Amino acid sequence: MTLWKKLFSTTASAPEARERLQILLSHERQALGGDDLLSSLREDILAAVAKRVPCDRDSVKIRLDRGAPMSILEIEVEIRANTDCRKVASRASARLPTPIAEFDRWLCEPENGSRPSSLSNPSCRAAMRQLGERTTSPYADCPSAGAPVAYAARRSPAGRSSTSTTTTRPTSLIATRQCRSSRAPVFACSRACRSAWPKSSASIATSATSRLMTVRSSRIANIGMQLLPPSLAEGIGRERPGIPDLHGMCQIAGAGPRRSVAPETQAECAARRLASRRRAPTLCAVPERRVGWAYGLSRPLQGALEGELHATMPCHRRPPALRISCRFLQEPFPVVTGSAWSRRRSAPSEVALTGHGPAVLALHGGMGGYDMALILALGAFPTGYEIIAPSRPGFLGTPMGNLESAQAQADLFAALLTRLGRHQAIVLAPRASAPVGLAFAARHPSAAPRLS
Amino acid sequence: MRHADIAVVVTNPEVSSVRDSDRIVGILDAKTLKAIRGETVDKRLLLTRYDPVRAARGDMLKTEDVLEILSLPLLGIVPESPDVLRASNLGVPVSLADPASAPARAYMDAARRLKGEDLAVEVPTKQRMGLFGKFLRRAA
Repeated sequence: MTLWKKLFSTTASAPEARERLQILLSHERQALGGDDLLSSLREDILAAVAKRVPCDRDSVKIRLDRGAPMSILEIEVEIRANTDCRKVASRASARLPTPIAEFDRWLCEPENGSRPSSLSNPSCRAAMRQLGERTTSPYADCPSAGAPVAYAARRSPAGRSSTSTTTTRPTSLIATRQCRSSRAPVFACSRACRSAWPKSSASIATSATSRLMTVRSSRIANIGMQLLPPSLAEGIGRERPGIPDLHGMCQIAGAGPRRSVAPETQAECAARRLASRRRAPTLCAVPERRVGWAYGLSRPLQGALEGELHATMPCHRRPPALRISCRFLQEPFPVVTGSAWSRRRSAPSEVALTGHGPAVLALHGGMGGYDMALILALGAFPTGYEIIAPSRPGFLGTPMGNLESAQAQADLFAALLTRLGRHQAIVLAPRASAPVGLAFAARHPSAAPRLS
Repeated sequence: MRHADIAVVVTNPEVSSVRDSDRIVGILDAKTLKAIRGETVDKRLLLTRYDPVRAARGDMLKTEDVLEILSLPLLGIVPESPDVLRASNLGVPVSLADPASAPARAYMDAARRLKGEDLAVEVPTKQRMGLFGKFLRRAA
């Protein structure tokens, strides 16, 4: 410091020290004070959950928000797909024909009359069969087979347990039926992928996939980007160690895997949003409609959680209204569904939220519910958008009530957007929801910058 | 600490010291036998190494600030002094080495307050140096 500064500077650092101390100590005191209750609660809940489903310590997250009129206790339990649950899943999926098996068959079909020798590659076939086994239709209880369906490919358990898995991010496989071409599921890969492939046609595996990419993609105009699942990549990689990682290439080409958002982040965002509203938290019944295998677990689990909670917390400290939301992870489909609003008429009962980015309100037509809306929206906006896909009144879990008119439904969705804190959203109103979309644009013009 | 009846929390007017004292106060309220039984340990605050010049200048936390943050009854304020170092060099406490010095007096007063006497807490002030004081100060 210069002499001038030494002589004439007035340094008053004590007030800042005081403020720092106050902030520090308030944090520390809060942490110490709430610790006992939350940690003991977490232990009890973990024990209750572990009796039924194996889970690790990090799967239970508890947060206590102390407010003036009421406190909100939020409990999140993560249940990952594992072998026990998969048995339920496989039983459920055995009822329906897996479309991936169809794809398998299609791939083996001779294209120009001659059976391609490439597909006799055992590891490639094995990988694809492995993929097919693990794919379960998330709509195991919907017998509709004609509509476009989305399949989520789970990571193979071998990949999870072994350390040689090539990727850690989940991928998705979307098979769509095209009216124009033959009735066969079709894959499309981006052109960059195609060009990045080595040109040698002698290799067994390359010719299979290059055929896949060159021939099939020429049939389709432009269907978004698709990915080859990691099991397939592993199969090919094992066969030819020189082939670069498919996944890596897909990423470089820009057709990378859908950005897998950690589901915790989403749920935390949603929970934080809801908590910040400071409305009376309603007792959230776990939604009746649960995807796939998790359906059978939701009820007893929720009952167990509530029982443990009421047993643990002393009466005078129990918060007046308890919200328990059970979220079932089914990678790679990070979807948060909650019917916490089912008590109120001002919001639909079932909403699926996925992704991050500008908000898209995705409606669905005359079939399905939030799932159809999700499929259609993900087809249009695969990445980079937050998709809010409610079930329209009268579909799936949302009761019809008296919301028959398009105007009433439009108001309902506007209220939903407000509830979620979104003031502007891109409204996607295909097929039978077109009147609703138009009504939305007419009645809430500020909320819908774009209508498609 | 577990079997304590009365606790004297010694703090310097700086951030790390106050934080640690707060933590200790938390432990005193949670882990001592008296706390487990439901009673409270009697806690007092002894503020040491207090420099009135720097506090007036705004460099050092004031007594009121520390008391507000920790909220403990004040036992005494011991001023910063070179006598303490001198005494520790000699291997004796300052109250024995130089009983007339300011810190020694402050410690004795704090002890009397702890025993129950009702003495007013003497806030150290800047020592006013006379003309001779400037020339005749003893070298440390």
